[in-house]
Amino acid sequence: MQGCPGSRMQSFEKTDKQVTGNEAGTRQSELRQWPIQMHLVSPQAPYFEKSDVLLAADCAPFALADFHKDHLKGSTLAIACPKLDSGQDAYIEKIAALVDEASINTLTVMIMQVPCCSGLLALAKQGLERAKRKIPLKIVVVSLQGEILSENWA
Amino acid sequence: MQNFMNRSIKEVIEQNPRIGEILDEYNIGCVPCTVATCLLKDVVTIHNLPKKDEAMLMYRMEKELYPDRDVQLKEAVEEEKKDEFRFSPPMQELVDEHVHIKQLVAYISDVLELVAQNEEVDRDLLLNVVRFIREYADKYHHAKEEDILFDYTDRSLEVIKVILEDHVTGRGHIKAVVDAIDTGNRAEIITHLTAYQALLTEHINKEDEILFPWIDRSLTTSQVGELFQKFAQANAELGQELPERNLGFLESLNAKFAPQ
Repeated sequence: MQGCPGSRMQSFEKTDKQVTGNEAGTRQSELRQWPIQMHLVSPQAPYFEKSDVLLAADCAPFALADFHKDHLKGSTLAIACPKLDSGQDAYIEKIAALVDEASINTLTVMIMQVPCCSGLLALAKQGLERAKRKIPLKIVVVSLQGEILSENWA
Repeated sequence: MQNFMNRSIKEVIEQNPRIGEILDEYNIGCVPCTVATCLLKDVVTIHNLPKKDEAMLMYRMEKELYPDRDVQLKEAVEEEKKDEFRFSPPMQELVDEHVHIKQLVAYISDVLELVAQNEEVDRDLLLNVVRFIREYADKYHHAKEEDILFDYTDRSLEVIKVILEDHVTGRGHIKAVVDAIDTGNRAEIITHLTAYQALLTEHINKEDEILFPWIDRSLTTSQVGELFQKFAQANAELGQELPERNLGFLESLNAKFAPQ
């Protein structure tokens, strides 16, 4: 038995030769708000107003090497885990409130490729259905080794 | 079965270990999971199995849970897998409107056949065709391209100039059609509607196949959201009645000319 893909142990050994890109220098964080956990964020926070919201699965930023540069930059952020978080009904309400009250511009849901992670997308879709306003929804799927497997508008 | 579908996978497997083995055959490895709070129904849907595999999995689990029941294997239709380019919502809206315009443009052949066959011009039919083109194709659809979308491109580009020129040429043909309807000049009606049909067919192909995918790829996420809201506002300003009455006319053409 291989176990649940979401919790199955895997090791990604990398040699120095596999490291690409410029490793020199430092980068600034692109995070422009706090808090970020979905239970803690408030749709009434001024930084959400008309923003492009990135709703990322907890694991995704760790898998994606350039998360800040390529995905977080210019967006507001909320993070959640559809497998382990409790009280996820509140997330649906919060997403609907972000759309209707904060008038967010777009919602991008970033999930890992493991099956349980698609629960976050399902939550986001329910939130959008509950909202009166309509906004575009983008879905980004990240592999365990940090590749973008797909990036599509719903 | 619904009773089991709404129970946690841990509870189901503890009571029926064979269910865990069946799930494992479909690479759904819940048995060693230490959390295992997922409901059985969520475990099945979330793994997004091919529809036929999902139907077989459901059949086998139900057989296992209710050995005395006459369980039927549900027929499953496989969904087509799409990995090709997908338009963003506002661009998809324009492409969807093209579908309706292409339908109207295709019916121009049938309309012109009637014009050629009858000495008396069917003014109402022709004026409704003109109204669709002026209201739906021009005011509702082309206006969104001209007033909103092309602001997100470089208007000095040749491809944008050509597209805008097509709109102007099309309006010229339709004005000539209206004049010809007034004077009952059947030859002019046929000439200009035929020209409009050829122009719009080519024009829409250019947009769907080349221009729109190119523009869409250049849009940022934020711009897609802006476009979506601007299109919604433009539609709201024109009101629901405009698209409804013109799409209603398209349906009437469908009933009149589509092969039964």
